[in-house]
Amino acid sequence: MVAKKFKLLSAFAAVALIVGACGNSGDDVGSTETTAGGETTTTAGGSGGDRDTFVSLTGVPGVSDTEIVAKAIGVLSSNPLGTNILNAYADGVKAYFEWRNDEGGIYGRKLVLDEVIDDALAKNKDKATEVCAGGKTFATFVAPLLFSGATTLQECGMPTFSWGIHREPADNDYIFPSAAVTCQDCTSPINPWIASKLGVTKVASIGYGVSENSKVCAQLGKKSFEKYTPDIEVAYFDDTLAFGLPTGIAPQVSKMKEAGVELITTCIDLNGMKKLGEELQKQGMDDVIMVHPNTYNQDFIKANAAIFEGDLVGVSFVPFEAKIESETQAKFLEYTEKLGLKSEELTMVGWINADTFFTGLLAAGPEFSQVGVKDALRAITDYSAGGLIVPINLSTQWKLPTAADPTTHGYKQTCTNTVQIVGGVFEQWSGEAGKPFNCWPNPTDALEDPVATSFSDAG
Amino acid sequence: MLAIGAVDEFVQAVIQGLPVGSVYALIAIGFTLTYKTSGILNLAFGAQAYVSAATYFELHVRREWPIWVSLLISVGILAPLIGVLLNQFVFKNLRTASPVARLVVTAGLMVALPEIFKIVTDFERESVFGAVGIVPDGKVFYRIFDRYPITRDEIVQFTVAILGALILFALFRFTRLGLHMRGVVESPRMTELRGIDAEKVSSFAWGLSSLYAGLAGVLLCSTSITTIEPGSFFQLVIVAIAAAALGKLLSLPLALAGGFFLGIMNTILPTYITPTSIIGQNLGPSLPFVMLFAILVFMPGIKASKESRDPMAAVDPPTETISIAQVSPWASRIALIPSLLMGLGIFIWVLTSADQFWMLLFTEAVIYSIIFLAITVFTGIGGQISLALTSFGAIGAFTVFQLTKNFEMSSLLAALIGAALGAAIGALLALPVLRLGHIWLALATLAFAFFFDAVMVKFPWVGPTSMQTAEIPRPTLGGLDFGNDKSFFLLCVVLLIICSLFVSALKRGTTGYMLQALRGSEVASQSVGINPTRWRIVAFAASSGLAAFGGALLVIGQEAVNYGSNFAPLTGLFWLVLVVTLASRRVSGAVQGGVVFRVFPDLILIRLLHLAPQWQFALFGLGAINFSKHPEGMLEYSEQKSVRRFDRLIKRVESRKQKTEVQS
Repeated sequence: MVAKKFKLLSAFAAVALIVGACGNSGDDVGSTETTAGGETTTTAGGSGGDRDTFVSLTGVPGVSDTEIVAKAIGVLSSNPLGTNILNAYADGVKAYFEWRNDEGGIYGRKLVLDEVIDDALAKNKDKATEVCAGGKTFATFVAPLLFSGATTLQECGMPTFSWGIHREPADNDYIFPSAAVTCQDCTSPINPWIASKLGVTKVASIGYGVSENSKVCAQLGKKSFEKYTPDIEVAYFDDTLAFGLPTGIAPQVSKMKEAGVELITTCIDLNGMKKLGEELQKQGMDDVIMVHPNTYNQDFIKANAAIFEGDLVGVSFVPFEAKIESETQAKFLEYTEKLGLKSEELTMVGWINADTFFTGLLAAGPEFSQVGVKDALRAITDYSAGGLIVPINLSTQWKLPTAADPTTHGYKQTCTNTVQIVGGVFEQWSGEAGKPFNCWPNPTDALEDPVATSFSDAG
Repeated sequence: MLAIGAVDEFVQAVIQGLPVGSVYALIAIGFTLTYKTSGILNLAFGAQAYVSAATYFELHVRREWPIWVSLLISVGILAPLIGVLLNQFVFKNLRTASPVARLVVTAGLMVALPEIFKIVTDFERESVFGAVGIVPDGKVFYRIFDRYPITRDEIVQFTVAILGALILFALFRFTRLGLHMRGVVESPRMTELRGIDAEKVSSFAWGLSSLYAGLAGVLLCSTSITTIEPGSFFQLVIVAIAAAALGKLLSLPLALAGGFFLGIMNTILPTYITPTSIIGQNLGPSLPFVMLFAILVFMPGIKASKESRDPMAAVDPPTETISIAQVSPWASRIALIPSLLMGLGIFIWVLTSADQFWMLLFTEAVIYSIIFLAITVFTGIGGQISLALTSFGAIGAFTVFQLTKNFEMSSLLAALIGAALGAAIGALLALPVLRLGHIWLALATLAFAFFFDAVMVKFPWVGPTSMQTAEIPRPTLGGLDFGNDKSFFLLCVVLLIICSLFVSALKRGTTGYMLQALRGSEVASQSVGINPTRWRIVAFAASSGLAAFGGALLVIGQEAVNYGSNFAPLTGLFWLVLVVTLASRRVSGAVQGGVVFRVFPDLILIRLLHLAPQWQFALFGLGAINFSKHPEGMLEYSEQKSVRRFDRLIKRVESRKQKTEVQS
């Protein structure tokens, strides 16, 4: 009950997610081709059949003749980050359901998110167990900071759609994250490319010491520079920072200044970024550019425009500021506006998760079941939520790729989607008009110019 | 040139450390003020700071009220009001209470105050816009010697810390009011004999210390806190306790110096030590806890500064308790029947009808009961407080993880080894800290818990890293497979019974009697040859072993190591408060604690009453406050009332029987 409270510990866990972002912008991706390696590629939403066909089903949890019931579980209270997670996420799911229901639903039924459950940070497993035991839910949407209920949801055969910042979906084929689980010991050309493009010669890589994820992210950042851009010096490295920087970061910034750092790649949360930005200003380093992994938050940027001017932010999906040829994106903007919702990062994550769910239902056909939806999704090899994310091969990318074998379970391309903060708003920085992603083949041994890409013609 | 560069670097590090030092100093001063004027280690200080900070944020940032109005309301009015009310309704009753009781009540308030505030005001935290200080354009900076930048907010913080200490120092040193405040702490009755209104003085002291808490909270928001969330404030309070401990919680100048020392060390370390070195990686994040531990263990006179006793405490009658010894033994047995029947009923229901969810809750209730037996041993029987139970729980859990993963050992055997390891580490830790006793011991164990959390957990030979799969297998024993939930529940029940018998034997055996004697009077016990160190080490080791065993079972039950969900340091504080509030002296108290901890929130609060999560914490805190009136524990109190009722009934029956016999 209380562990919840402070899990403050809190901080500890919270950070685990924070750095999911290290992978946010660095996703390796699937090809936009419809065939790969000679195999036939199944495109998302392909196989299901007539969406209006009604078949009465019995014994399928959460399914009646009129509704398909889902629940959302996530962190609301005791969230040490203080950001809007569960409500924004659930809004995204609801908005998507609203869109599909306006179209007539699916298989003669409405999609219903009937409950939004606060896991109070530490009770994710409890809540997952409760949902499973209730037997009245077809699918679950999860946006926790501590995803302790993953195994429970897997074992009860519940199609689960999650915020793609956790490692837990690995090896659990019922769980479909918004971004595939990524290699945790692989280098990436993204930050070296950013540094090269900016023409800097000295960089810093920093992360929190309390979080293994953040620590590893900072270490991989350093290794990536050493591998791809040996001429760029990692002049300052620190993977021991305290979560949230409660005691400031003045001496570290002094060291960076002394070392002549021009670009800082970080693996810390948005509150930490604010403190870092303030300290840079104090020490006359306003012109140093920070690369943010977790700061795609319009209100936050607007409120701290001067601190972050010129900084770069990685986004795990096509940002709201970049328009692409995508019905999914257009409908997101339409329905968030229609329902009076704020377009936030987690709202889009919820929307993408809901789209994955709907895609699975379509693919499973009118006589769908939980295992049917899972199997149908696991047959899809290039799911991109209508171009919003880099395509995921759902049939293979539920196991962790490794540095030794980054491709079997990894993305086919490494892509970044980067925005720049200009005057308190985001502007697309990577790619080109209509093609917001910059991609390299995976693996990439040497740094080459990336290819501007759009995935809106993928599934 | 080199020398100038070195001096420049040092001066820069010192100046950079001053703002952080101000933060620590400010809290340390406020914390010291509370202890000095009430004799209470006020763990709720952070909660009081939070309430003022949240109010200031709401008024100034969200509603855009002027700074001075927001500050006046949040710090000038609300903060002292909270202090006065707390004194009137809570702390007044604690003057003659034991250190355990005082700690429990403040810990309860620590949890309850923010939640009550949230319920009443509907306040929702928000981090993205951050908080602002009490001067306009607080981020504008100036350069000291044209070189070292410092912001307006930091200047204000520094100034308030220094002025705050000076004002308090002058108050205590040069005014009669200051003398009265100290006198009331020592002996309210004695001061009343001198015609001093102890109540008024005490209220003033609490109002003043609460004002400092509020001021600290608001100022912290401008520089240190990024999220207006109670946990952030409490973490800083824990750090500041290290500074306050330098002055034995009594000296304001030393608390001030301790705060600045810690702040400056925070910048000196990264300035001179490579962050990736072993010292940089480990000492940096754990510095306050290492310092606190070192002060407590090595500073001469800490033990001698144990809280003084009011020579006139006896004037206040002790809380009424029911003497079980005077009631019929049958009454006690009959009173047990409803509990036993209920326990049996629940047991049968879980085995026959509970679904996966309730099975999980009741299984974990049984496991938590084992963990809580650790509190029965060390606090209930031993009369001491350990706030490191979560660390020992984690030790058991990590042992199981390492042994099952690397040696494919049976998880049950690994749990037993984890318990032994926990007991051994407990005994080692006990050697330097047990002589401290009471609040100092509690603080030392709290420092250990935070050190464990900040440093030890990260080592791959201790716990799982994020790169590892942290799965734990369910155990098998001979031909028995405890892989399914029902059989695992049964196994846990059997283990609970064994652990309960062990604790009962400990309580009724030599160890129990020795500990009870020590609890009664350490000096008297020593005079008859009882070695306090030896017996307390035994108790601490047993307690730590039980916690480790419970922690191991917990992760076996969950089939994964979830350190963040299960073993965060402050969770241990919650465990302690819960069990002590219910009944720490009995084995049944631990069992009831397990059920209340794991089942009560879902069953009563969520399912029946449909209350938001905040209510759990608010009610928990209110329960702890009630503890001040019933130090034997709420459940024990109500159980004793039942015994008394049955006793009266039995006596009435016997009396009638006698009358009938006489008449016949």
